[in-house]
Amino acid sequence: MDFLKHFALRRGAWSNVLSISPPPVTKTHEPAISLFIRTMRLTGVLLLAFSLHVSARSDAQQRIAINVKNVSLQRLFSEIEKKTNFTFFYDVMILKETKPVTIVFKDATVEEVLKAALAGQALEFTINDKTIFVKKERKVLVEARPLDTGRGGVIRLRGVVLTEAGVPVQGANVTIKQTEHGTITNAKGEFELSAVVPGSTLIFSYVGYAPQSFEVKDGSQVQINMKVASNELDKAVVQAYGLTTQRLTTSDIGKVTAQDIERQPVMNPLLALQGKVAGLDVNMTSGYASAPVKVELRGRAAINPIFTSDPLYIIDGVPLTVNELSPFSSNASGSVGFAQALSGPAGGQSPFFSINPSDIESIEVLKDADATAIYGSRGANGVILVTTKKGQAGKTKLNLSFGEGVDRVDRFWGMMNTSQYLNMRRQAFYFTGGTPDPVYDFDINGTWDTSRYTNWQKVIYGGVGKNTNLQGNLTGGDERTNFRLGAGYTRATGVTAISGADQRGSLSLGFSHHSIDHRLSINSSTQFSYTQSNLVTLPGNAAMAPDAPPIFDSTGNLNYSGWGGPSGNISAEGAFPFGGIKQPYVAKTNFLNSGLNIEYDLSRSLKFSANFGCNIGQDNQTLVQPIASLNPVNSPKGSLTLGSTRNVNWIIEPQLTYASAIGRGRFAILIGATSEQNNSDVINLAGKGYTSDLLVNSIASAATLFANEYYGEYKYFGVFGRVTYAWESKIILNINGRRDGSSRFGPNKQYGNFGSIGCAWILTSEDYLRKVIPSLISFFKLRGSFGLTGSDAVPDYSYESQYSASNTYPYANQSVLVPIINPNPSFRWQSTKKLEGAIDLGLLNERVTSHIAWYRNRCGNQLVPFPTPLFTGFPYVIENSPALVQNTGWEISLSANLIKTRKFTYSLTFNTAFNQNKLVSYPDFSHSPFYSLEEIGKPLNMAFALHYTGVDPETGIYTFLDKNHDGQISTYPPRAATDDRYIINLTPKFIGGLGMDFQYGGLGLSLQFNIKAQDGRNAFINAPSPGILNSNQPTYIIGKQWRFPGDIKPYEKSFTYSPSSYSYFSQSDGIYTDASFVRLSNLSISYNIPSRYLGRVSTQGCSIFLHASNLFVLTKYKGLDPETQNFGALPPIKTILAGIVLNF
Amino acid sequence: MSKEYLTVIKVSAKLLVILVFFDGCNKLVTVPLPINRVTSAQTFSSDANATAAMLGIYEQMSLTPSFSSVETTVLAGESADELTDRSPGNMSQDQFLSNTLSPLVNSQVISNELWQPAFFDIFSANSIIEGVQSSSGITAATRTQLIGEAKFIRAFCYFYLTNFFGGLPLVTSTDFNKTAFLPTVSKDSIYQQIISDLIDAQQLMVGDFSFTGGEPIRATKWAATALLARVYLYQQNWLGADSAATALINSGLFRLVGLDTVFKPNNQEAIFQLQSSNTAYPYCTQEGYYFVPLSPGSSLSAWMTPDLLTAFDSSDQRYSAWVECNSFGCYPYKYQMRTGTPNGAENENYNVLRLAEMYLIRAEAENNLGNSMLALSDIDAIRIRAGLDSLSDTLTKPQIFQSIQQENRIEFFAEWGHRWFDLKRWNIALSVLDTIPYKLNIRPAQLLYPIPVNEIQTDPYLKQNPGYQQ
Repeated sequence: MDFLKHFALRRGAWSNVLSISPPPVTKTHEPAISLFIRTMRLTGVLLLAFSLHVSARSDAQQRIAINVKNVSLQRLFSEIEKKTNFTFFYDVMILKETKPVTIVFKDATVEEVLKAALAGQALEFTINDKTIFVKKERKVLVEARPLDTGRGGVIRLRGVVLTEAGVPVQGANVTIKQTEHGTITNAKGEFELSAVVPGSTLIFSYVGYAPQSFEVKDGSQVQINMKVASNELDKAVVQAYGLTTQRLTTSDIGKVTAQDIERQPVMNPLLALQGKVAGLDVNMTSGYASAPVKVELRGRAAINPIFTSDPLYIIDGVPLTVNELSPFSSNASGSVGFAQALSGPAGGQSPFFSINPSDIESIEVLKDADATAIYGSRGANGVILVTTKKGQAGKTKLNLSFGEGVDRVDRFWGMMNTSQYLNMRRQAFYFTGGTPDPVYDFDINGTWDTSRYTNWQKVIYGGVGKNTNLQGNLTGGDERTNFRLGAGYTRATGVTAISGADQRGSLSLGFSHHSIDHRLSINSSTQFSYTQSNLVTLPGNAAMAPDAPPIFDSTGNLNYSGWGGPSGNISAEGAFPFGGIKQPYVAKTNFLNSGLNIEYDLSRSLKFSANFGCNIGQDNQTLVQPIASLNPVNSPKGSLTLGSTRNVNWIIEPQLTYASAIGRGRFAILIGATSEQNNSDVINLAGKGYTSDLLVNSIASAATLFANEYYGEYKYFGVFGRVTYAWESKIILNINGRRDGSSRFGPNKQYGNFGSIGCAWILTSEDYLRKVIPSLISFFKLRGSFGLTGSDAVPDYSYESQYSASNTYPYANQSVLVPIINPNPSFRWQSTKKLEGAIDLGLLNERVTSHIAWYRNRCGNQLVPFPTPLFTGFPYVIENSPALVQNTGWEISLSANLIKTRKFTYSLTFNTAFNQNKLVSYPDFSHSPFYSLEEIGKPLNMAFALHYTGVDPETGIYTFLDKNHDGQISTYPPRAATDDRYIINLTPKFIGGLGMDFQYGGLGLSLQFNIKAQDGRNAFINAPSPGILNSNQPTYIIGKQWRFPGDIKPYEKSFTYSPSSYSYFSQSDGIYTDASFVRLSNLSISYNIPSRYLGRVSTQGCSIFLHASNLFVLTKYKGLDPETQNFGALPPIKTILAGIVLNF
Repeated sequence: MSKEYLTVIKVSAKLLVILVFFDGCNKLVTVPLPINRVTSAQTFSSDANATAAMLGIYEQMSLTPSFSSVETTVLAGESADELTDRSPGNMSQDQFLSNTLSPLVNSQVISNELWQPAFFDIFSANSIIEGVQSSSGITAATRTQLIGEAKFIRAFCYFYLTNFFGGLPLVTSTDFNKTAFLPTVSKDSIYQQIISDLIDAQQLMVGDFSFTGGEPIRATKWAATALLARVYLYQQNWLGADSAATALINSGLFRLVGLDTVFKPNNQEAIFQLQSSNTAYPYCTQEGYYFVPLSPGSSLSAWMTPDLLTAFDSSDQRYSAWVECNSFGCYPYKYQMRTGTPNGAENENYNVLRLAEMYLIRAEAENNLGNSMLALSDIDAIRIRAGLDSLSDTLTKPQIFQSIQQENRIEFFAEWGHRWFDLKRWNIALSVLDTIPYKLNIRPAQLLYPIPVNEIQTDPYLKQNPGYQQ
C-alpha cells in the first residue's frame, strides 16, 4: 500500500505539498549518502513489501542450533534459512568485503547468531516478521557541517527524511514548531533550514505518514524515518490529480480499499461499493452478474430521466466514458455499457463488469464541490476514482488465490398450489359469471392436467450455480524499476433453468521506473479483459399456473404442443413462455484500459507531468431465435441478430506543478490541460426469414437483412488549475478553477467555467483552543466548500441541423435524405452548485474517526429534451430547462478501532446518509414535459396515486378516496381537476452501511450490512389481478379476499379478467409498502495458517477464506426481495465462495 | 519573505488569466457529424443532395400509413358515409365512425396519423425552402424547381390539415424558436398561404415530366395548378377554379384513361402520383395493403357502407372496375395489390391528383357561373368513361349540382377524403349523415377533428376546436 502511495506521490501528490530543495550536499559527502540511500531504498522497499504481505506471525526468538566453520556470510545465511522460516535479504555487493565467520551455538536465537556473525563486519541487520534484512552499518547520515551559529545563536540545519524502510521522502513538510516556519524535502528527501534556534522542535509530516517531531540540540544531525500512518485520518487518500489525507483535505472523499473489495464474491467491483460510502447508492438492476448497475451519489440531480445519473468514473487517470447511443440506458437502469446494440436478457452489461476487482487497490468517491470541481464539466454527479494495484520492489513474489463456490436463490415465497389456484379460479368464475371457455381457459377446462403441480420458482431459478474465482499476482523489481503482473479468471453460472454463465478473464500489468536522480519517473498500468456472457431469456415472472405442463416434452423439445394439451389448443400453446430458453444470447467483450504517467522535475519546485491514457471496449452480441424455439403451428422462420459496439477513449493531460513553503505556510499550484476524445459506433444487423435452423448462425444466409447503426464522437478540452495554501497546518485553503469545452454544444456555447473554493480549519492545532477542547477529542476540523460543476449529458450533435438516409428507401430510383432533429444551437452547460459544511473528528488519538457532513447541491440550467409542439416538426428539442433540483442532506460516517490488543482486534465502520431531493422551482411548470410526472416542492422520485380505502363490504371491490368529491374516481387527465390522485414520495429515507471486523490471531471475520429505509411497490401488486387465467398468486391472499356481502377483507374478490377497480388499485397507494431492509451483503472469514503447519512448503504465507454475499435480508417486505421489488423475476443471488490464498 | 509572497501572487495571477481568458481552440471540441448523417449545409451544397432531400419528402409521404397514404381515405371515409369501422369495439376507431371524437381518446390516432406526418412534411418543405435559398452551390433551375415543389408540398399538407381541423398554426420556418408558440390562425389565413404557395409553385416548377423520365412522381406546375383549382373551388372562387382546371385540361399532357388504367403507374390521367417503394414492404400502395384482403376469403380491414354501394348506378362500370366483394362485404378495389413484388416493375403507385377531378371541378364552377351546357359536357366526360349515358341537356342548375355530387361521390369514393370534404363544403354533411343510424345527432362542431391534446398542452396559444374543450 505504501508503495502505491509512493507512486501516487510521484504522479501528482506533489502538487499538494511543497518542495524547496536545499543546495546540493557538498560533493565529498555525496557518494556515501547516495550509496546509503540506494541501500536503504532497496532494503526499505523490501522490508515494506514484506511487512505488508507476510501476515503470518514470525518468532524472532526462535531458537536454533548452528555449527559452521570459516564460511562466508552468504553460506551462513542460507544455513539459517534452512533451519528456520526466516528469509534473508541483502545486496550481494555488501558482502564482498566481509570476512568468513565461524559460529557455534547449541541453542540461541537467530538474533544472537547474527549479532555474533556480523560483529566487526560493518554490517547490521533488522528482523521484520520472518524476513531478515542485512545492510551496511548505518553511518552518520549527514555529515553535519560545523553547526553555524549565526546571529542570535541560530544554527543552520540539514537532514534527510526517509521512510521506515529508508526510501527518501520527497515533499515532506519540515516545520519549526515554535515559529511555524518550515521547508519541504527534495527528491532525495533532503532539507535545509537556515535559522533554527537550538531547542526548537521540528515537526515532520507527509501525506500518508504519521507526523513526527524532533528536538534540535546543539550538534544534532537529523535523520527522520517516517512511519506509515495507521489511523484513518492520516492514511493516504487519492484525490483529483494527487494525494491527500482525511486530516488535511478540504474535500469530501470516501474511500474503499482493496481489502474491502477483495473479500466480496462479486464480479462487478461497483457492487463491492454497496453500503460502503455514505451517500453512495448502488443498486443491482437484475440478478445477472453482468447486469447494469445503477449508481447514484447524493440523489438524483437531473430531471431528465433519459440519462444515467452515474458519477464520472476514472480508472488510473483515464475516464471511462461510454457514449450512450442506444435507447436502452436510462436513469432507472444505469448504463448498458459496451452492449449498446441489443438489450439482452440482463438488460445490457455494466462497463465495470470488464474490470477485475482483484486489480483494484482503492476506489475513492469524490463528493463535494472542492473534490469534484477540478473535473469541471463532468463532476456534477460526483467522481469515482479507481486506482489499480501497482508493482512492489523486492523479491519476486507470487500470490495465488483459488476460490470455488455456489450461487443460489433461497428467498422463495409461498405461491398457491394447484388446488388453491383452481379454487381461486373457480371463485373468479363464480364472481364474474360464466363458465370456463373450452378454448381460452385452458388451465381449468381440461386442456391442462389439473392434477399436475409445479413450483415454477424452483424450476426457473431454483438451481445451484457454480462460482469459480482464480487470481494470480506476480510482483517484483527493485526500488527504481518494478512491476506487477496480475491474471484472473472468474466464472459464475446461472441459477436459472437453463444455466448460462458470465465469465471474465483478465490480465493486468503495472510498471514503474525512476531515473537514478529521481527527476524522471514513469508509471504505467494496463488492464485487459475478455468477458463472455451466455444467457437465455426467461419468463418475466415465475407465476405460471401451477398445473401448467412441463417446459420440455419427452423428447427434450420445447413443449408447445404439450401446453396445447391433447386437443392442440393453440391459445394454450401461445401462452407458452419458455421459447426464450432456446434462444441463446452471447455477449463477448474485450476491454483494454491503459494509463501512462510521465513526470519530470524541471527545477526544485517546478515539475512537469503528463498523463496519457486510453480505454477501448469492443463488444459483440448475438441473439439467435431458431425455429426450434418458436411455436411450430405458426410455421415460424428463424432469425439472427448481431450487434457490435465499439467505444474508444483517448486522453492527454499535461500538467505543471509548483510547490513551495512560504512564510508560515505551504503553498502549491497545479495547472494543467486535458484533451479527451471518445468515438463510439454501434451496428445492429438483423437477419430474418431463415427456413432452417442449420444456417441460423450465419448472417449471410438470412432471407432478408436489416441494419441499424449509431455513431457518436465526443471531444472535450479543458484547462484547469488548483491553488492550495496551508497556513501553519491549521487553516487550509483550496481553490480550483476549470474552463471546459465540449463538442456536444453548438458554436460559442462549447466552453463553460467551473470552480470551487474549499477551506478547512483544524481547531485542535490551535493552542488556545486545544486547551479548551476535551482531551478525548484528539482532532477536530471544520471544513466547508462551495463550487460550481457542470454536465453535458445530451446526445451528440443536438445543436446541428442534419439529414440522414438511415432507414429510408429510394424514391424515383435515387436515395433520399430526411431531416432527423429539431436542432438547437443555443443550449449550454447544465450546472450544479454544491455547498458543503462538515466536521471531521478524531477521538482517543484517532482510534475513532468520524465525519459529519451537510450538503446542498442545486442543479439548474437542466438539459432536457424540451417538448415542442409536433407542428414544429419534432416532438422535442434539446434545451436548457429552468428546472432547479435540489439535493440536500446529512452524511455521517464513523470508523472505530474499538479493541486493539496484540492478539485481538475489533473495528467497526458505520455510515448513513439522509438525502432530501426536491424540485425547487420550475417556471411555467404547467407547460413543461414534466407536469404530469413531477411536482414543485416534491422529490423527483415520486408518484401520483389514488388513496386506497379498502374493499367495499357490499360489492367486494376496491374503493378509493374521491378526493375532489365529484362523485367518481378518476386518474385522467393527469393533474386535471378530475384527477383524484395525490403525491407520494418514493425517495429512500436513508441509506447506510455497517461493517465489522474481528481479528484474532490469524483468524479474521468481517461483516458488512447494507441498510436502506424506503417505500416501494409491494410484490403482490406487481402480480396480475387474482383469478385471471394462468397467473398464480401468493398464498398470503388466501382467506383475505372478499367472498360475501358484509365480508371485510383487504383484497377484492377474484375476477376472470382484470377489472377497472384493479387498474385503479394498481394506481393507488395500496400498492406501496415499506420496503426497508437490512441486508448482510457480505460475510468474510479468513484464517492465516500458521507457518508451523506449513512445514517445508516454501510458501511465504497461506490463508483460507470463506466469502459470502447476500446471506440474508431482514425486512418486513413480503415477496422475493425489497430491493428489486419484482413479483416473480430473478431476485438477488446468494453466493458463497471458499478458497485459499498462497504466497510464494 | 515578501519576495516569496510576490511569487505566489504572480503565479496565481497568471493562473487566473489563463483560466479566465483562455478561449480554447474550438478545433479541440469540434466533431464532424457521423458518417450516416449530413448537415443541412451539406445537404444543400449540391443539386443531387438537395434533390435527395426533396425526394425524402415524397418517400416519407408514401412509405408509412399517414395522412398522405391511406389514413386520410380511411378516417375521412369513416367520418363520412363511405366506410365502416376498421376495428369494431375499439373505441378510438369507433368514434370516427360515430363522429363522436374526443380529444382524450382520439388524440393519439389523430396526432400519429394525420397531424404529425403532415407537419413533419411541412417542416421538411420549410427546410428545403430555407436550405435552397441560402445555398450557393445549387443551379438556378434546380433552385426554382425545388422551392416550387416544397411550396407545393406545404400547400398540399395545409390543404388537408385545414379541411380536417379548421384553424391551425401557420408554420413557415424550421426554427422552433419562431414556431413553438404559434397561435391558431383562421382557416382563411391558412387558405391565403396555400394559394400564395401554389401560385409561386406554379411559376417555379417545370411544366412537364421529362425530369422524372416521364413519370408523374414529382410535383410539377400541373400538380400546383390542379390543387389550386380545387382550392378555388372550395373557396367558391368559380372563375379561378374554372381557369385553373381549364389550363390543365387544355395542356394536352393529360387525358382520361380507361377505368382499368386509372390507378396504374404512369397513366396519362395522373397529374401527380406518389411512387410506391420497390424495396420496402409491401412494395405497393399502403391503400392496397389496407383494403385488399389477405386472401379472397379473408376478413376485411374496412367495408364500404351499404349507402355507398347502393349509390352506384346499376350500369356504372366503376362498380365492376373499382369495387370487389367477398363474404364479409365489399371493399374499394381501385388499388388491387395487397403486396407487390420486391423490385417488381408492375407495382402500383398512389394517385394523388388526377385529371377526372378537373372535369368535375370545372363542371361545378361552370354550373355556378350559369354555364350549364359547359358543366354538362364536363360531367358527361366522366359519365361516359364510366359507361353511363350522357346527361339530359334540360337539367336545371340544382339538378346538375345533384349530378355533380353523385359523380364526385362515385368517382372519388374512398379516395383522399373527397366525400368528407365535399359533404362539408356543400353544407350537407349534417343532413346526409344524420340519417345514418350510428351517426345520429351529429352536431356542426363534430365536422372538425379535435386538435391533439398534447399540442394544446405544449403550446398555450393554440386553441382547441369548439365543442372539444375540457
